[in-house]
Amino acid sequence: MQFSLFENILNILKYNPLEPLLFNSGFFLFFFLFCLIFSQIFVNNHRAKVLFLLTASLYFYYKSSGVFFVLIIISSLIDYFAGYYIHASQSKTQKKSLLVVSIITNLGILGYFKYTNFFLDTFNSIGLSNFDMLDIFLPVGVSFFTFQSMSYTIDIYRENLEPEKNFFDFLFFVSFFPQLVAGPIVRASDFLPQIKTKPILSKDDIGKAFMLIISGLFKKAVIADYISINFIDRVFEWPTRFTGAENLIALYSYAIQLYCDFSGYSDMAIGLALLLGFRIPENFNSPYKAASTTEFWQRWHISLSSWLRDYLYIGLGGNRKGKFRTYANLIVTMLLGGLWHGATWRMAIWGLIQGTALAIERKTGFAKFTQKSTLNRIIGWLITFNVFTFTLIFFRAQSVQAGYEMINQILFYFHPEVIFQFIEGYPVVFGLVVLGYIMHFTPKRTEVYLEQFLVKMPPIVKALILALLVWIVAQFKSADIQPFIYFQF
Amino acid sequence: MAQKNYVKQPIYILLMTIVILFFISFLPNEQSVFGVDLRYVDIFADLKGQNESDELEYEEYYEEDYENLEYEEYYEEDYDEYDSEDNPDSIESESNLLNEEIKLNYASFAFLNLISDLFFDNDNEDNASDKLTLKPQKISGNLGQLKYFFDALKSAKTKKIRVAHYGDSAIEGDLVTADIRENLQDKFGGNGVGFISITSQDVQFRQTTKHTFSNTWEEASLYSSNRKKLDLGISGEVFIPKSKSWVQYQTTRRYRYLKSWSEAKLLYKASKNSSIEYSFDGKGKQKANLKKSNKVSQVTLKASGAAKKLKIEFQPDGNHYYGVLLENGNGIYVDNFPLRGNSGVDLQNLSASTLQEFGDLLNYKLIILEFGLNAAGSIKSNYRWYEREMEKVINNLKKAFPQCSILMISVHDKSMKRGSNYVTDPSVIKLLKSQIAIAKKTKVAFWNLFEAMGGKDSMPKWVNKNWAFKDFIHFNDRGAKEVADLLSDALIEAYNNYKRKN
Repeated sequence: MQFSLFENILNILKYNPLEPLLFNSGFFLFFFLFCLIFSQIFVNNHRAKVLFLLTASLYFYYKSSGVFFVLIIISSLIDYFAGYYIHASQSKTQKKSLLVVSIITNLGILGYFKYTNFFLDTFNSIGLSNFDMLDIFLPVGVSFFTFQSMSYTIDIYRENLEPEKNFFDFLFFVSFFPQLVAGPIVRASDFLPQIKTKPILSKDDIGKAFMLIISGLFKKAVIADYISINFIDRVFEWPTRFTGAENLIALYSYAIQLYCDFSGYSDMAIGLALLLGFRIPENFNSPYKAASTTEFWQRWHISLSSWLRDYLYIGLGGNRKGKFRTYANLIVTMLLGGLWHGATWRMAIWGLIQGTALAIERKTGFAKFTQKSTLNRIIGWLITFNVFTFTLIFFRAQSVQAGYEMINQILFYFHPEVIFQFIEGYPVVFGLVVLGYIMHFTPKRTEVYLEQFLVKMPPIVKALILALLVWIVAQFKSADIQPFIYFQF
Repeated sequence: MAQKNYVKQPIYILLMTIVILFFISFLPNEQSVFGVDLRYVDIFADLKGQNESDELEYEEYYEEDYENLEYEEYYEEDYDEYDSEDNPDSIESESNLLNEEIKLNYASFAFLNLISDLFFDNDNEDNASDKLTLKPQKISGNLGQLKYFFDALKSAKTKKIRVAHYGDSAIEGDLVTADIRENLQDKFGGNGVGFISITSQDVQFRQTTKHTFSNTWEEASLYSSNRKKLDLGISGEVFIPKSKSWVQYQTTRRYRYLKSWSEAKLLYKASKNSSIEYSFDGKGKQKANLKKSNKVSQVTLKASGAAKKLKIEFQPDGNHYYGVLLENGNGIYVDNFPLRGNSGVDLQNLSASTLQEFGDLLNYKLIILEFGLNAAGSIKSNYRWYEREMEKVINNLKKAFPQCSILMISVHDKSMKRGSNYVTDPSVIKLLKSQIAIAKKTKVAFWNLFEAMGGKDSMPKWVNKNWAFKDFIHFNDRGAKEVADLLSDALIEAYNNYKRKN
C-alpha cells in the first residue's frame, strides 16, 4: 500500500501527454494550492517568488508537453537578447535586423511545429511534390507564447516599451502558467510592471476571481465538454448520417460550445492569475451580443484580435494607404488569423469570410448603421450572429467536403419533425445548450449582481460553492455516454 | 487609510474546498436521487489508484469469462478432418501464439506495467495500455459447415455466388459489406454492388450507390412496422407503389469494382400482370412485362454496354417489389442487408418458404450475421432469451437455405463510463459468451470480432485512431474497412486451408 501510494504520486507528477494539467483536473487543485502557499511565503522576497512561480510554470508546461519546455526557455533567451540589443543599438538597420531575428525565431518555431505538414500537404495536393507527412509533436500553447514574445520585441522596436533587465522576470512573463496553454495573450507592457510590485487583493478582487473561476469551470467542464462528446462531435464527424435538423442544431450548439470552451478557459486563467495577484485583461465580452462583425471581433478573444490589429494589420499599413489597401489588409489579417486557429485550408476559408465581412462593413458603414436604433441593432445582431455561426461550419468540419455535406443536409434533407424528437431524446444536451445561451445573453448587471453577492459571502460559503461545483463537474465527467438515437421521419 | 489586503484569503478558501471534497469522498457511492444516478466523487482517487478494488474485480470477472470464451474450431463428423499438426501454416501458429499472449497479458497486466514503469523510460509509444493492437482471429466453430461456401468459391469463375450480409446499424450505408465485397471480388471476380433496396433510410451516407426514389412507396419491414403482415423479402423489407413511382440508382467511383454494371435484375412478386419502364444512363425508355405468379420472380434488364445509371418507373399495380441486383458477370456478390436498431432475433419472422423462393432464384452460399449491439443491455441482463431466439433464427435460415453456409460474427467492443474512463461494457462480454453458445449449439462457424479489434477496452483506442464515432459504439467508414479486412483475411485463410485438404 505504502509503495503503491508513492508510485501513484510519482505517476501523477510525471509527464503524460494524455493528461495535461488542465484547470479542471483534480490534481490542479493541489498544484494551485501549493502555488498560493509558496507565493505567500515568499511575499516579501521578490526574487524567490518569481523563481518559484517560474519553476511551477515550467513544470506545468512539462506536464503537458514534456521536454518541450526547453523550447520556451530557448526562444525566450533569443527574444530577451534581441529586445535588449534593439533598445541599446543606435543604428536603424541594426535594430531592424535584430527585430527580424526575433520574428523569424518565433514564426520559425510556430511554422515548424504547426505548419510544416500543412505546407507539405498543400504542395502535394497541387501536384508539386510527393512528401510524406512528418510526425511532428505540437507543443501545447506554442501559438500563444510565440505571439507574446513577438509583441515584446516589436514594442521595443517601436519604442513603446523598455526592455526587461532581468531574464527570469522576462521568462516568467512568457511562461506564466494560467495563460500559457490557451491564452489570453498578455502584453509585456501590462504584465512586466506587475511582477515587481507586491500583490494587493481587495475583497472585490477575490469575489471577482471566484466568479470567473466558477463560471469558467461551469462553461468549460459542464456545458462545453458534455454537449460536444454526447452530440456535437458525432454530427460533425459524419454529417450525412444525420438529418438537416440535427445538423442545424449541432451547428448552433457548436457556437455555444466553442464560446463556453474558449471563454471558460480564459475566464479561469484570468481568475487564477488574479488570485496570485496578477491582473490580466478581459478576453471575451459576451461576443454573440455583437451587432456587427466589427463589434464581434472587439468582443471575441479580445487579446488575439487586438494583437492582430496592433502588430499585423497596422504592420501591413492599416488604413493609412488608401481604401483598397485597407480592405485588402483587413482580409489578409483575418485570413492569417484564421490560419492561426488551425493549420488547414478550412481555417483559411473561415478567416477569409471573416475578413471579407469586416471589409464589407467598412465599406458600407454597417457598424454605424447598427448603432442608430434598437431595431437596427436587432437586425445587425441577427445577421452577425447567424453569419458567424454558419462560418463555423468550416471552422469545425472535418474537411471542406464535410462542410459542404453539412450545408447540403441542412438545405435538402432537413426533416423539421426531428427537432421535437431531438429535444425529447437528448434532454440534457438540449438543456445545457439553452442554459449556455441564457448565461451568455444575461444582461451585464445580473452578472455584476451575482459577483457582488459572491463578494459578500464569507470564505466558507465560497469554499462550499466551489466544492459543489467540483462535485457537479465530476458528475458530468463520469455520466454515461448518451446513446445514439435514430429519429423517425 | 490603506485598503485591507486579502491576499491570504484564497489559501483558506481553497483549503476549505479541499477539506469539503475530502468529506464528500466518504459519502456512500453510486446512489440514486430523484431518479438520477449519482457518481462517486473522489478527488483523491488518483493518489489512491483509482477504484483499485473495483478494477480488480472487473479484471477477474473478465478473466473468468474469458476462459469460457475459448472456442476451438471443430468439424462435423461428416467432414474430412485434417490433421492440424501436419499443417505448416505459419499464420495459424502465429495466431495461436497471439491467443496465448492474450491470456498472459490479462493475467499479468498490472504486474508488467509496474515493472516496465520502474525499469524503462516509458514513452507513450511503448505504453501498452494506450496503443491499439489488432489481434487477427481465425474463423472458429464449425468450419465444416463452411464447405458449401468454400466449394462454391472454387467455381466462382463460372458461376455467380452470393453472400447475404445481415447486420444492425453497424453495416448501414453498405459499411463493412462494401469492403468485404471489394476484398472478395478482388480475389474471386464479380463487378457490381449486388442487392439494393427500393427505398432506404441510409441513402445520404451510402457511398457505394447514389440512390433516389419517389415518396410514393408503401413499405413494410422488420425494423419499422409491418401492420398488414405483408410477406417480407430477403432484405426484411417489401415495397408497394401507391401511385406512379420510381427509383433511380447511380454508381459512384469510390470502389474499384462498382464503377459500372451490365445488367440489373428486379425482384418482385406479381399478383397480377403488369409492366415497368426503365432506362439506362438517361437514354431511351424500354418496357418490361411482369408475369403474374405466386412466387418471387426476377426480370432482367440488360444494358447495351457498361451502364452507370438506371431508372425504373412503376405503375400503382399493388405488386410487391423487393429490390434490384446490379451486377456484371460471374464472380461473387455480397448483399448488404442492414436492419437498423435490430438485435437479429426478428429475422425469424422472415418466412422460410419465401426465403426459399429467393434461394431458388439466387445462389446464396454464405450468410453472415453481424448483430449484438442492440441486444447488449445492462450487466444484469440474462441472454438466455437471446440464445433461444437466435437459435430459431439460424434454424429458420438453415431450413430456407439448406445448401448455404452460415457465419456468425460476434458483438464488438462498446464502452461505458467508469469514472471518467471508457471501459468495456460488461454486458458485451456476457453477450459474447451467449453468441459462442449459439454458434456451438447451431453448429455454425463463428468469428470473434471483439477479440480481433483488440479485445477488452479496445473501443476508446478505435475512437482515438479516428476509426469509430465518439458514441463509443459505431465504427466510421475507416473503422468499417478495418473490420472488413480482418474478416476477409480470416475467411480467405480458412478457404486456403480448406482447399489444401480437398
